[in-house]
Amino acid sequence: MSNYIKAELYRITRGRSVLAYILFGFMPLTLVFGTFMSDPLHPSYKVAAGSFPIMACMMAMCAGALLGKHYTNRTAHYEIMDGANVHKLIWYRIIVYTSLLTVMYFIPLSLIMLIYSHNLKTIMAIALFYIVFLRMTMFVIGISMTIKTGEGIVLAYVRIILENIVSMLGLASNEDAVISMSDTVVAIFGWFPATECTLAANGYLSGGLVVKALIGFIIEFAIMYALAYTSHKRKWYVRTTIGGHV
Amino acid sequence: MGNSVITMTNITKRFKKAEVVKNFSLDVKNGSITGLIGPNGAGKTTIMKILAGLMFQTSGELSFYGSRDDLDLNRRRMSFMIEAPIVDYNMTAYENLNYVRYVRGYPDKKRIDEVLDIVDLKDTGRKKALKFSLGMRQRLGIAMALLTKPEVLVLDEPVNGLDPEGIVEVRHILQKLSEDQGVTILISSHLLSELSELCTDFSIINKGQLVENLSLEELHNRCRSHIVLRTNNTEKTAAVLEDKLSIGSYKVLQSGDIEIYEQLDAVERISKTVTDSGCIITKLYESGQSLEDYYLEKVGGSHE
Repeated sequence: MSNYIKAELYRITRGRSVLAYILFGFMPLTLVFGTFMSDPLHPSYKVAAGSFPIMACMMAMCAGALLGKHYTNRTAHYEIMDGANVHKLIWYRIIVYTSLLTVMYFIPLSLIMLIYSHNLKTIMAIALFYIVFLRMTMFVIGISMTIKTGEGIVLAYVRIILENIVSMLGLASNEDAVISMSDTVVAIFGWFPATECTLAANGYLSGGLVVKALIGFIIEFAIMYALAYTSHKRKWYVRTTIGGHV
Repeated sequence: MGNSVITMTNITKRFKKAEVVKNFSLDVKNGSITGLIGPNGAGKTTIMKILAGLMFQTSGELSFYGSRDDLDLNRRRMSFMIEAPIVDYNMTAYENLNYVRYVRGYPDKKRIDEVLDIVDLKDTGRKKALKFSLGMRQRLGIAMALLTKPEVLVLDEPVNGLDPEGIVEVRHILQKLSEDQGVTILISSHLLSELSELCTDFSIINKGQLVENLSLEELHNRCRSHIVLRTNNTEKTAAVLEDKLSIGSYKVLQSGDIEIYEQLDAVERISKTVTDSGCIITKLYESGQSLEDYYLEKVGGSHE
């Protein structure tokens, strides 16, 4: 698998648009930092938590764009023609993209949060944020590998907007919630990142919420992994003409 | 030549209701250069994609080195260039090759310079592939296929976009690989004439179906001008040809037809001598066509 990791890092760093991705990725980092430090005397994870899911989505979109390009310019063919094991293909991408995004964006963000507010609640917020961030990254990787284009990032964006709308309507802190989060369909959103982060923003951050987020992440990871694996194994989205998919 | 490296048996590929490949069979022998020839849309690329593992066949069997198992493992001994070369346009020729080297885990970095030299792209320096001409990209694609010193090369229309000089160069590269290193090559084209000077075996495909498998010798014989003769006594006729007409270049086919390759302007004399010897002629005509005519006849095309 190390050869695929080396190849992917090589491809990413040689790409002309790598600088654009880095800058795009710094934007959400700055925004999270800005919301966290909105009251410089009392920096709080609560303000940052409200906007974090969409920021995590934007970071994950960088990974999705890079991965999508791998399919659209067909360099992904080399891995398949090399007889690569599908599990290795999925894992190397998870390793490369989560590592890159963690080092470049999440660790700096966590350090800033800890420097300015080193208490248990902040540590729990960082844990929650990291789970949300991993979940969004896995969603983007899974979708991109399933449909084998860069368009997976659009789905990620639509998803997070929808989640945000539901959590805003269902978890309004002024007790004027428009929809009930206990309704059958809406209840599913209770397990989604935007709801978890909104709960944290509303002051309900607890060990239980972090564990719930972790369970949600494990379930989504399993679904995305299964989708990506099946898509590659069964060669979904195969077309016959140039410009088609793998 | 020896054992089969690639064997396809009754391969069918269906996309919804359209059957793009129908019961196609192919046997590529070790060390051979096999040409897969057919018009555009005949199913050549689909067959190559199935070989490369980019898509599954709907039915039929595929085996490498006589084994239906371990297809993925055996693909590591091969290199493929399917459709247009797979090139990252933001990278230079060297970087593209280095990327493939990493993917395939090939340790020898010096090989990059070797293959760049082979395809004459060594002087491209920091020029991105985006600025390459079609021919340069095609040569880069070939270099990428050659990088890991594969035992088998599968090339889908590799001379597309090349000028005549480039076509000759590619032909020489492939001939050298076959002769010096015993590389088995499967190459596709829609032009029989393009492959006739390179391949040892040919498979003609049209509308997804195999039209004919033939060797270079058979192809030359089919396209060589000759007289077709059939009598009621093949053995006696052969003796007459040799003894009375001094014809040494002829071939007796299993059907009983005799193909005569010399004295083509002496049909009347052959007819008279054979008849005088007591044989009854049931068939006598001149035959032979150009490579192009032969190919068009097989795929049902025309010059129009």
